[in-house]
Amino acid sequence: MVLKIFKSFFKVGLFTFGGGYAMLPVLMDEVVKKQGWFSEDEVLEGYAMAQLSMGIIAINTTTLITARKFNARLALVAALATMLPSILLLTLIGMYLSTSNINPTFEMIFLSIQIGVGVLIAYTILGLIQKSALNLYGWGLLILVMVLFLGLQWSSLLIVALSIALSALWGHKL
Amino acid sequence: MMYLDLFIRFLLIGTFTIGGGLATIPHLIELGQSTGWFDERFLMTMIAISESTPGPIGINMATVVGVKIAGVFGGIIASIGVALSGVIMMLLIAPSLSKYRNNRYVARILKGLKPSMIGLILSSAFLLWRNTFLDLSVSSPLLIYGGVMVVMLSACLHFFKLKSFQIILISALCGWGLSFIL
Repeated sequence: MVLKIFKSFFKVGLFTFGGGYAMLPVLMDEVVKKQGWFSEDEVLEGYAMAQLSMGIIAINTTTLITARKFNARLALVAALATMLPSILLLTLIGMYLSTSNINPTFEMIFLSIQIGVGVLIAYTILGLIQKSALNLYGWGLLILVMVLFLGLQWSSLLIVALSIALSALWGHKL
Repeated sequence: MMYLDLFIRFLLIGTFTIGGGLATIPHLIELGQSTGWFDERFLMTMIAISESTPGPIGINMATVVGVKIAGVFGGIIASIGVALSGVIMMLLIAPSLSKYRNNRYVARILKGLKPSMIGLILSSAFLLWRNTFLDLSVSSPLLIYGGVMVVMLSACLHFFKLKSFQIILISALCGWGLSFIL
């Protein structure tokens, strides 16, 4: 069982392109349709909760559904198996990136990639704003956070902690 | 000692990351600024690589940054660190999932966190955009190239629904072409 779990979740990690949201169809294919370990609802429920917690969404989903169905030991195996392809592949790329010297061709390529990433981030943020339908308090909080981070140079960790505290008190007004 | 420092920093980053890959970027910018381990240009390249390779983006970013800071073990330690608090939390809530889902305070926190996470991500985006703009503004042909790229890539995303790794691939190819002209 340990080996089976490991193999399946390693595959999920390897074939997920583009982060948490892209993972869901790959995960469904492998552990619901092919292996039949979970029902579709169990995966969806786990995914919903994983998205709302701290940490990495894909790893959280994997851990949560495996822990509920099997046990904590297998959940850890599944979490590690999901991470492993990333760690292996990105270690190679990271080593190359740290040693390669930048020549003019590379410089133009990297600059263009920066533009591409900038556009991608802008598009994602617009989607987030659209989806969350902020009210007046929400916009106020958003602007407050920006002033604290950019203007007053507060630590991002501190800002998240403060937001959690504020939300626990007044989150229902947002 | 370096490894321990790295582990604790990434454990904290993971603990204060809610809502996926992009939410780690403000913390990573801050990590670079406060330690001098890497600059924002490295971060931008690293984000591009992490978005266009398989696997969870947060793990990908942690691995690349970890390797840059402390070699192969650094990558492993950073990845485990960034995922650990989420994994522990999932193991804790797994036995009684529905109880937590319907908790009043959990619901409030989730609602309140949305605008502040967007605010943080938008702030980081401003810092990254400013950097790219400064890099482009060394010459006017380069600035025009940047403007054309922004319009073209936005159109590719919006109208043709291209995936993020395709956008990055197109950008890289354009950059390669540009290096022959300039």
